[in-house]
Amino acid sequence: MATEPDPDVGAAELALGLLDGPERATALRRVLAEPAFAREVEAWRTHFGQLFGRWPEVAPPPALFDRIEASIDPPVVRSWRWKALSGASSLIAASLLVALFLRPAGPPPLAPAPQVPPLVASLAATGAQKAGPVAAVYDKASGQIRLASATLAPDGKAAELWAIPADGVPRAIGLLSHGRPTSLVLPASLRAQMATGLTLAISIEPRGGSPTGLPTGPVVAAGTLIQA
Amino acid sequence: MQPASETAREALVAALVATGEGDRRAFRTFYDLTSAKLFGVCLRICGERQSAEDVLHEVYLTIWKRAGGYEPGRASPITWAATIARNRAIDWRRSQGSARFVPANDAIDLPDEAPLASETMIADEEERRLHLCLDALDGQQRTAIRTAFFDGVTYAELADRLAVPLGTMKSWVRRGLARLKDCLSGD
Repeated sequence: MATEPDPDVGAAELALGLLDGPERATALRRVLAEPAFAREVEAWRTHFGQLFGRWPEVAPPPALFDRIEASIDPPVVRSWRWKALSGASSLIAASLLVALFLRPAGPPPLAPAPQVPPLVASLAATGAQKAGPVAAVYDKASGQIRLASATLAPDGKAAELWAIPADGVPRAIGLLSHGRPTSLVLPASLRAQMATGLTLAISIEPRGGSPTGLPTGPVVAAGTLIQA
Repeated sequence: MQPASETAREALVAALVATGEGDRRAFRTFYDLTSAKLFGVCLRICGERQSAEDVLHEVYLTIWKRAGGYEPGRASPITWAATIARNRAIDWRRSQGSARFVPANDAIDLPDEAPLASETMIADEEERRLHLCLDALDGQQRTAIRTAFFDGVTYAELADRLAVPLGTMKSWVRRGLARLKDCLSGD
């Protein structure tokens, strides 16, 4: 047994990927809560990144690039199925618009489903930033989250919204519009987790969003979802 | 990565920055220059070809979408891209169940564990320092940290593989990482 406690090298452990379960969740929470810790994780990634030079290269199959390129650029019309799908999604978009415009005026005209009250959160500034609280509304029926207009990211950076469910692992939701209200549709995998008590947080990331899939920059605002 | 000549790195930075602006030719160039390294990363961690190809596909989609956020002053493009590949491959493997890892026939071998820094051509100062600092660790600590990096394994898997109790493994690695940190920040 060790005679003295192990040193705290959580940032290096997270960067290497050694942690799992609750330890990983704790370290990820620290990335969100402690900018110095987040910078340390980033520094360790860069240090260990030097080892990639040693990684043996293996040529991927020649056809792979074409597959990748095809999936970044789906041809405009591929088949009837594609047309039907895009038709359906414009219908969905249209009905969302109708819902958005009609909602303040009263009950929806057809009221087909029982009204699900939205979840709301007020994301308060966490750092020295003077940003006021940002209001967020999540509509379970559509899986859409809307945020009030905010100007959080400095030039050349982006503000990214994260959901942190009970497991403590941040999931990216999307980037906030700069100085305008934001509306984002959650991926299906995340919708089931959206419930009272879930934390929403906004971090400052490089343009285009976090390259790692986890927050890398300081968290500027956070709040908890509650039932409206 | 061969001894990284400045011009090669500049070409890579230029390709990645142009990719961020939506330039497909640049994306193709970036792919040609980096895909063998990134496929090596995916293959080693995923352990089999088909999954490694799927993960690599996703990795380049991420690169296409996120290239606009790359900051040339920070990590080198290859480190930036290889980190994405390593994280994606780890996520994939962990989603398959944590106990699954068996180095499959497809998995590639690593260079042996000769002292790293004594090799003649390590042009980059940062890289040289990391290797010197790793060389200064105890053998067990170095092996554990190297295995964690190249195989993308957790403490639990590491303890299992090296047949050491979990607590002991954590202690070794933590002490090793603390020494590494001192060494890297010293002059």
